[in-house]
Amino acid sequence: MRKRAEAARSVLGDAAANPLLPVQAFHSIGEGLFALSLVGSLFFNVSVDAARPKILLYLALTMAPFAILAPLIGPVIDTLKGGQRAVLLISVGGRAIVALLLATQLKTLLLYPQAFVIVVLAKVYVVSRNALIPSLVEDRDHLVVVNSHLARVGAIAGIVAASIGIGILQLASATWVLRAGAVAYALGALAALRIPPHHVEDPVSEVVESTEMHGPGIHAATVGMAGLRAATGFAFFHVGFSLKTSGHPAWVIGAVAAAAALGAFAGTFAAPRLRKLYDQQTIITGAVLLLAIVAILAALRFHGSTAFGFALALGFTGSIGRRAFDGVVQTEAPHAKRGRAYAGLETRLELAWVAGALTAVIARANDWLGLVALAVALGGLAFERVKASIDASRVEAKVGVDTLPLRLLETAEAVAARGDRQQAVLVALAAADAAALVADLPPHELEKLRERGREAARENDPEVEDEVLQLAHQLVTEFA
Amino acid sequence: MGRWLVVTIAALLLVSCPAETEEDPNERITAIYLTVLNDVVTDSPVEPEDPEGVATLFIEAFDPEGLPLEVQVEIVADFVDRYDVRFIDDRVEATDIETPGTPVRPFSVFVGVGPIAGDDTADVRVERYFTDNDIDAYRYTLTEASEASWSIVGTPEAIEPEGFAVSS
Repeated sequence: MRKRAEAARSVLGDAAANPLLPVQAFHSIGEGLFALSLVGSLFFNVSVDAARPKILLYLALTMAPFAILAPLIGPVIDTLKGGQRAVLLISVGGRAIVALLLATQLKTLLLYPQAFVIVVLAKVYVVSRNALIPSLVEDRDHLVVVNSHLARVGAIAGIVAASIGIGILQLASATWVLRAGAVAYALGALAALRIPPHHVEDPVSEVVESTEMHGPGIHAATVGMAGLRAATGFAFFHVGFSLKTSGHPAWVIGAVAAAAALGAFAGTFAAPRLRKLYDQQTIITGAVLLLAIVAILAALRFHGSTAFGFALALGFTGSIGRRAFDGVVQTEAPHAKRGRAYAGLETRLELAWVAGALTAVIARANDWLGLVALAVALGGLAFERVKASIDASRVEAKVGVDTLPLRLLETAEAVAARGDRQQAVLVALAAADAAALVADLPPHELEKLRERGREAARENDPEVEDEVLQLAHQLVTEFA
Repeated sequence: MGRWLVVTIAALLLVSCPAETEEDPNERITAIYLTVLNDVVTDSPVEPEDPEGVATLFIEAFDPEGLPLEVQVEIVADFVDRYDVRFIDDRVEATDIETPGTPVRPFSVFVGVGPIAGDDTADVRVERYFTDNDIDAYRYTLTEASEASWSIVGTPEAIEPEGFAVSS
C-alpha cells in the first residue's frame, strides 16, 4: 500500500519533478499535432529546390538565438528566482500563439518564418526543461530516471496526438489540427505555471562546477551525442526531401516520423537494460555505430519501408544515447546543478542538430548518397571513440598504484606552474607520502620534507615552497 | 547618437521599400501561368479519389531554373479549392514507374510548362502528360488584357512534345 502511494507520488521517479509531467505531455501533444498539420502545408506543394533558399535562411536564423543569446541570457536566468520556469513558460506559451497564427497561413509564404519560430521555441523548451530538471530533482541519482520517464511520457503523448490529429484531419483540415495543437500548447503553458519557482542556491563554487562540466568524460559524451543530434537534423531534411521527390505520399512521411517516435519510446525501455551490460560511453559509441550500419542498409535500397526502419533506428539510438549522456553528466559532474551549466551542453546539442539540418539542405544529395555520407560520418565518429577508448584503457593499464607518486608530482608541478604554489606544496607532500607507501624512502629525508612543508604552509614563503617542491621531486623520482 | 540611429533606420526603410511604379515580375509570370494552367485543366478535368476531396495537379517547370517560390505559392493558392497543386523536383513524383508506359498517377493531372517568351505578348509551351508515349503539347500565345490579367489569343497551336520528351 505504502509502495503504491510512493509510486503515485513519484510518477517521474522523483516527486519533485512531477509538475513537469503535464507540461511535457501537453507539449508533446502539441508537437505531434504541429508535425501532422505540416502534411497539409505548403511544404508538400512547392518544389524542394524553390523552397531551399527559404529553408536555409530560416535554419541559419535558428542558430542565432542559441549561438548569441544563450551564453548571455543563461546566467541572468539563473540569478532570477523562477527564471528557468519563466523561459519554459514563454517557450510553450509562445508556441501556442505562433501555432494559432500559423493555422491560417499553412499555404502562404508566412509558413516558413512561423514554422521556424516554432522550431526555435521547441529547442528553447528542450534546453530550458533539461536545465530545470537538475534543479528540481533533489536526489541526483534520480536524474537519469526522471529524464527517461519524461521521454516515455512524451512518446505516449505523441501517439495520443497522432490519433487525435488523424481524426481531426479526416473530419476537418490541417488548419484545425494546428488549432488543436495551439490548445495543447496553451494547456502546457498553464501547467508550467504550477512548477514551483526555484532559485538554485550555488552548492559549490563555479570553478568546481566548470571543472566537472569540462572533464574528458563529459566532453567525449557531448561529442558523441552531438553526432547523434546532427544525424537527426540531417535525416529530418534529407529523408523528408528524398521521400517527397521519390513520389511518396504525405502519409508515408508521417509514418516515418511516427517510426522515429516509436524508436525513441523503445529506447527508453532498452536503455536501463543496456546500462546493466555496458558503460555509458560504450552505449553512446554503440548507438553511433548502430545508426551508421542502419544508414548503410537503408542506402542499399531506399524506399518507404527502409526509411521507416532507418527512422526507427534513429529514434532508438537517439534515445539510448541520450539516457547514457544524462548518466555521464550525472556521474562526472555531480555538483553541476545550475541551469547555465546544462544550458551550455544542451545548446551545443541543438546547434549540432541545426548544423546537420543545414548540411542536408545545402548538399541536397540524392537519397542513397546522403545516407552513405551520413554513415561514413557516423562510422568515423564511432571509430574515433573506439580508438580513444582503447588508448585510454592502455594508459589505464599502465597507470597503476606504482605510478601514483609520479602522477601526483606532475600534478604538483603543473599546479605550481599555474601559480597556486600553496596547493602545489600540499600535492607534492601527498606525492611523497604516496611514494613512501610503495618504496622505502629514507625516514629522515621524509621528515625533513614534512617539516619544510609545514613551514611553507605557515609562512607562505616562495623560497620555502620552491625548496619543498625540489625536495619532493628528488625523493619521488629517486626512490619511487 | 539617437538622432543618427533614427536617420539610419529611416534611410534603410526607404531603400528597402520598392518604388511604386516598379512592377513585380512575379505578378506577370503568375498571371500568365495561371491563365494557361486553368485552360489545360478545364479542358479535361480529373475526378478526385475522395469525392469530397480534390484531385492532384502535378506541375513541372521545363526551365532548369524552375519557377520562383512566390509564383508557386500563388498558383497553389489559386487552385486550392479545385486541385492540390504539387510542383515536382523529379518526374517520379508524378508518374507510376512500376506500371508499363509510366502513366501519370491516378486521380491526377500532370502538366509541364516552358519558359515565357516575349514581352507585350507571351508565348508559352505547355505539355500534358498521360503516359510516356501519350503527351499533348501546345504553344499558347497570350496578350495582356488588363493589369495583371492575361488572355489567350486564338486557339493553342498543337506542337511536338519536347519538354516531357527528355528525361528529367
